[in-house]
Amino acid sequence: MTKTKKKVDLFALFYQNSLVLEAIVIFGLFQIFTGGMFLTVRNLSNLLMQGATCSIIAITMCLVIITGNADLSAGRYLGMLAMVAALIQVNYGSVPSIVVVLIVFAIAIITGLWHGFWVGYMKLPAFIITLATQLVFLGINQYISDGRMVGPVKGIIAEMGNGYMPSISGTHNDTTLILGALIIIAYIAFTVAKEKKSIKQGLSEKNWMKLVPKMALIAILAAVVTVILYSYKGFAYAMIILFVLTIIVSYVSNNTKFGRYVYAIGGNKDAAALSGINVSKELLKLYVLHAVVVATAALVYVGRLSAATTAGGNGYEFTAITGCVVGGTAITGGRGTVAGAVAGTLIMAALDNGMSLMNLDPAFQYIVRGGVLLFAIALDAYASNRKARTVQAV
Amino acid sequence: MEDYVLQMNHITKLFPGVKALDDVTFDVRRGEVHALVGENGAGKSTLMKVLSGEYTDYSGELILNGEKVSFKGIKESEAAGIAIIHQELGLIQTLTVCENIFLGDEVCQSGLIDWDFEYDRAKELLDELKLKVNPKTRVGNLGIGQQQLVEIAKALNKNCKILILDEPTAPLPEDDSENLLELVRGLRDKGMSIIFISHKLGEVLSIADTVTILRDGQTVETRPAKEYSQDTLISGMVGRELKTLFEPRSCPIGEVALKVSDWSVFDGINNKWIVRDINLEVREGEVIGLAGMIGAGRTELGMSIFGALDDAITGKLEYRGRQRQRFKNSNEAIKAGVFYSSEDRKRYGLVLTSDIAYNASLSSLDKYINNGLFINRDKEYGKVKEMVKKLRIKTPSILQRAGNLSGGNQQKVCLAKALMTEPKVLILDEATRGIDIGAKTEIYQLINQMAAQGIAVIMISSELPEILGISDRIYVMREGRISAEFDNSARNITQEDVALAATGGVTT
Repeated sequence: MTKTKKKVDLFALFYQNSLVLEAIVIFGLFQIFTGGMFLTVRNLSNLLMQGATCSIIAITMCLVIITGNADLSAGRYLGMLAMVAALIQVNYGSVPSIVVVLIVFAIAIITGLWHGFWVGYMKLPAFIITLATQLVFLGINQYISDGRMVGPVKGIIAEMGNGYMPSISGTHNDTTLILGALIIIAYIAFTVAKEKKSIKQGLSEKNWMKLVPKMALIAILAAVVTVILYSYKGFAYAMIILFVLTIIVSYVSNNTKFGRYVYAIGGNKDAAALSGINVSKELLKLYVLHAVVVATAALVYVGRLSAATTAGGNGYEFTAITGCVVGGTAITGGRGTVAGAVAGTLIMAALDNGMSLMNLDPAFQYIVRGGVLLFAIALDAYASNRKARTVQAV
Repeated sequence: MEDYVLQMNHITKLFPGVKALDDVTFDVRRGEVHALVGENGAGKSTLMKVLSGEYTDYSGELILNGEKVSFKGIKESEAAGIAIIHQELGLIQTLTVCENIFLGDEVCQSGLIDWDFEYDRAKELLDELKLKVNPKTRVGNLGIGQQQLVEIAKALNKNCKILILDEPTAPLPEDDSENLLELVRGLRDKGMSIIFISHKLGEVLSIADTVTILRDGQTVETRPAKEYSQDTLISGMVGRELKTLFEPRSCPIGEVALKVSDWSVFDGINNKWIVRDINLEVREGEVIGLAGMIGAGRTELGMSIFGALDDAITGKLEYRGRQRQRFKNSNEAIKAGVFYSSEDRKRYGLVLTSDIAYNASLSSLDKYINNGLFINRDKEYGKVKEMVKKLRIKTPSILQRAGNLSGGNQQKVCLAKALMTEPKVLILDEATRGIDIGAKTEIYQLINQMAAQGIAVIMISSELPEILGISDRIYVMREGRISAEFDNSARNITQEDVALAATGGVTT
């Protein structure tokens, strides 16, 4: 009896911390296999820059998955928007880049409405709708670009993908250090305040023993990342965009009606509808938000590469979806967090980056990535089945 | 020594927070109809699930034909000759009668289904049950009574020795019920043992050889059926005078809160009227009961008023003294002050994976929004805590997952959700289904409190005692129409009055 109980706890412990474990294993293995190339200041900075695009997609992809839907078109859609931005900048150089950004967002809102209409109001399966639009987006991309590579981009768009925070002193990345410190202080202050309030409301037993190590770990991690980036080029705007969007959407998902409804729809669509939630409208809103976030990712992407191609964004939806699942989003809906999804996607980006550094045969890269998704889903399914069983046995 | 085909000794089964079965003993002889009666939540279904192997984590012993057994799943109990036919039929509507009969038991010849054999055998079984349908008919095209016979054919095909019928006649019209009972007698005479679960006590007394009464998860007694009358059965099931459950209300009854006239609902998919020409009103501070059999259209009536039904609706709605358009969706209804709490709390009531606070405030989040955007947790949690206290929801914390609560507490969370919207009209659909007697009593008290606050309550229920005990007026529905309306302000209407109207004239 006691023996089985001990086993149970081990799995739960493993599952709850799987993200950290995966990160440690991946980072450790790559450090060895790449002969120390992986954990260099330069590579880590690159990794964050490359991973930012997919991670931005994952911010709202995870909400879409939480509602029990999906978006398979995100990658090709990103490619198309990147091409639109690049074409305008190259062919109509006089258009200010802020206007280009606004045009891209306008297109995003229209496509978001389009997806939301089919999925929300026509109640068609999102898998099929976005599978169809994925091809449409690819076709549009090829048509408007004529298959050419278009670039370079400039102005804000280039900054979004490739720019770094300016320095005050001119010799050090001082702003990065200051911002990093502020973030860590704010994080600790908020977490402590939140926990204190929970305790006051009687909703949390004094779990400081559990909370403090977690808080310390995250703070140290943030400090390490800050110092690493400081010693290279500092915080890139892409990273800041990723960070800020993550915080905003995360806060929205936890503290607004819209966020609540997203989880309710995924947890039990029928009950949500009977509770007075306009499911169609909330899904429409979500797809519009998602499209705008993906559009932001598209700008970051084209800014970093400085040119758009017809192959742009290919497979990005896969990385983002896998990242969500790795980060604890339930593919069946109802459960998951934005922060987890972003962390999961960054780990997937690390995986891609590491495999490239190792010069691994692309064939094996595909197999590994598919395998990771399967493993993550299997782990999630096993954990929730096990949970269902434990509850019954009480 | 009696010839027992089945003995269940000292069965105890726990659910989180509830002792569903407490040392239950239940023995069935060969070739008898053994009725199992008890109120909802008495543990009948749980006991049958233990028998059929759906639950494996119970204590006690199961003896089949003198041998101790323990089943790890339905497959094993079926192999041992036990078949269960649930209240909700387990047939696949899009498959044919023959395919359903052999589902999971396909007869194959070198890997291919032997259709000739299957059709012949299906025909044979259907003939035995005097069911004249082609085995190639899709089950979805059959009436509910015929579908039930197909289920029985499926059980016969598995060579079952013990057949469990869970509320078999509940959805059936009178003629079909009579046929079914006749059939059950025939099967018994061939030596089969039948466990018969029913709420219709007249039926129980007419068909059963032996009766076992369960109450609150315990066996009350087992005696030959002829020693019982309806009254002794009821007092055995309830265990106390019914009247004490329902305290009298003295609150004044006010203006008409909600009134529908010529209200009809047409189900376009199945091409039939499910609610027809309903005229109904409910006043402030009044509790009206909506009685009728399963499938009489009560749920559809409630959901259509609430705006939660996609079917075509016609009719006029008068709300708080004013004619208005029908509610287009549940959101509009809730904003106006109407709330419908579903009979199926797992499917339509709760987000089981989320916590109590989340569920309770889901329909009334507007009240807890700051600056038009962000949720004010302090205010929300404060209100939820108040409701948890008021409704006496047993939970360690308001952050407990709804799925971990017992049925009674889940129901109370549904009620909390309803009350937090501050409704003027509250439609409660089977609000006490499947919960124990203690929680029921508390819910009745709550309904009384709501009425005292001036809330108009429409109580849909299949449990006549509760309809009779709590309603000021009673509407009875049958086949989509209102077949009778009773003034029950003196609580003088009897079960027979209502049953008569619900079944259409023939007393059971």
